[in-house]
Amino acid sequence: MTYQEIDVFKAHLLKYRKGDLIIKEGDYGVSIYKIVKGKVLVFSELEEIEIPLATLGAGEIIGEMLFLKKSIERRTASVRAIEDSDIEIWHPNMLEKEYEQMPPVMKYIANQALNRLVRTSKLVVQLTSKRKKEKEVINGDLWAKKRRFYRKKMEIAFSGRQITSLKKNLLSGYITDISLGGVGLEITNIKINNNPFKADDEFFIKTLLPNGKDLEFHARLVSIKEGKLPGMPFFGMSFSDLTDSARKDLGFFLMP
Amino acid sequence: MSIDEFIYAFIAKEENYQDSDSIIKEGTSGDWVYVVLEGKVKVKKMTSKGLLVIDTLKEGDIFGEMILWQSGKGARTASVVADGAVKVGVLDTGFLLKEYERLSPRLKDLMRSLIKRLGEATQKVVTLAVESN
Repeated sequence: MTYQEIDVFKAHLLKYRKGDLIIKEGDYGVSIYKIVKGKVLVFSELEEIEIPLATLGAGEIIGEMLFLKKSIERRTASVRAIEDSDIEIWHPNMLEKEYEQMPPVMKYIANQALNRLVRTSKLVVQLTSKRKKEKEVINGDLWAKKRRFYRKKMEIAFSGRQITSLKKNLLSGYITDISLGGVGLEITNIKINNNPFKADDEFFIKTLLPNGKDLEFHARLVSIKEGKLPGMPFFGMSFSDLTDSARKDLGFFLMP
Repeated sequence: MSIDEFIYAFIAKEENYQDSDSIIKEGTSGDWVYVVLEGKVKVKKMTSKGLLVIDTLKEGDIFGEMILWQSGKGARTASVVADGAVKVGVLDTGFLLKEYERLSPRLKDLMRSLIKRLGEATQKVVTLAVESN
């Protein structure tokens, strides 16, 4: 039995539900994915705007960039299932041997296509964000759309302060849900008709996760609506600055 | 960028073009794949607002390779025009296809998907550029 035949290199099949995130831009990850059934959206995030790059279906490969280009270290785009999808996961070791034997001319063409794809995708991001900025008004809908990550319901106290103003406006209340994209906050120290904050204000927020980890982050106010407490507001916020270690702690906390 | 030697093994013939000469015309059929040996070429696409330059390729760059992954006879998806005096190598498509056929099924999937996505991304740039002008 040769090394290649050992079962560890068998592809695994995973099932994703519509809306699930498969790859997150900026993450470390080495797997390559083949779409067996379903549809996925490849997108990039620029200043919290989602920029669609491609819609891919059965037979297409994603996540191959890190394999082909060893100088790329992190995922260059995010991928989300837009239909229930079956996806085959390949460990890069499965391909390594085949790649070594790949004729140089094919490697050359693959690398050229890859470089051009990276360049073209950047151009798509630039052009789209230019267009979106001209049109887009921040509103609650957008906030909801941007937070399709898995959201964990919770109820833990937080404290915060505004960082985009010289007045040290304080904020307190409790977090009702949290995801890798942002938080939902029930505010207890400000009445809705007396609210000094507006969309795009930035805050420093601190809380203690139920697993005992401190969590600190910067977040931007995206939507304001009436909260569960009479006369009190609910703030939808998306993270504007989350350190790698905070993202990791949050990731562990969010694991189902 | 220098041209790797293995590319030369695939060159069936060399062709010279003058500034603005058309090397590939969008929409026509043809199955040659080219490599730029000297000079530069511009890749252009026809849009509702005229010709749009989508890329400039230089020495060592390959173009026309999309034809390899189109089943049967496909039409050229973009025009390629000489930007100054250019020397290109015409690659032996049959030879290239043979090399492609020898790839493992997974690598074939990977190559096909990569080229297809490049085509789609290019189309997207064209659409966006036309809309925002």
